[in-house]
Amino acid sequence: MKAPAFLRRLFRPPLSCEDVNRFIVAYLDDALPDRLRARFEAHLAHCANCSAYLAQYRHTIALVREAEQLPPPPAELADLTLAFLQRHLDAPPPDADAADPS
Amino acid sequence: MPSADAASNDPIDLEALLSGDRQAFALLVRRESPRLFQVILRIVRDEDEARSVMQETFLQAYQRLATFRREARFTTWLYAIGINQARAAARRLRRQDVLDEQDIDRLQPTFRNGMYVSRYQPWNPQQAAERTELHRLVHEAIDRLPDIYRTVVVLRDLEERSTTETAAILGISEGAVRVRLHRARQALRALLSEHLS
Ligand SMILES: [Zn+2]
Repeated sequence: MKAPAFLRRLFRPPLSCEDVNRFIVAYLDDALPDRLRARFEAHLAHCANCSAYLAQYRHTIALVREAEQLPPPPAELADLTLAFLQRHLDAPPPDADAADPS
Repeated sequence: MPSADAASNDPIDLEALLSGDRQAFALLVRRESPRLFQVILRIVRDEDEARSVMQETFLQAYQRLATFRREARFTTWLYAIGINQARAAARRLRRQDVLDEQDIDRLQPTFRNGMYVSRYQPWNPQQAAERTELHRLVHEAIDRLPDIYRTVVVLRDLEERSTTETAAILGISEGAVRVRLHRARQALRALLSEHLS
């Protein structure tokens, strides 16, 4: 859908580096309205500092993902939890609220 | 007789679950344990502690079924319980040099007349410290984040939950999720920068 002309004019002033910084999360989530995304990208296209900052920012996210990979959880995890629940739910309840009549 | 695989794809009967049906609850435990354990582990960062926090989470959830309000998804409610407990455990186990809000402020970029005060260059992976060493640095930087920032990074960047779901789990607004995520990522960027520039 195309915005009315007066709205498009309103959205025209160039973004500052600080504005661009503020929109990074929404940009990477692909959550910026088309018009704003176009202005964001137009700024990046001619601002080496913002491009470099965004590259470092993306690199940070990628490193976090890479460094925080986990091995699959132990296979007996659910069984241990069910055994734990059974012990606690079948024990005499510590108070009336926790009572399970089943 | 459905196989274990088929059973794990069946929708859980919410009414049975909420009425305290043990079988429905056991199915929930089987289905959600691996993922929930991973989220909790990423927040508390200790396997034994994560296991006990998860068990306590399911116990509390079962005992508090009556307090579930149907505005949220059941798993969102379950994760909210688990993450609250994980954050409490993380605070108990917290290391000495966790950053505070002023440190996080200090790690944000500064601007003058709308422009960055510093000059940036893309990081060169070739100049990076050895991979395992780099991973250790990243891990340590994440360790130093205050738990609310770490939790947002875990949910958004590691578990890849949406902003909406993260907001529902943490009981904060979507705007607050974005702000915390941005501040956390920028703080991590600054912490890693000295090793990568
Ligand atoms: Zn710029």
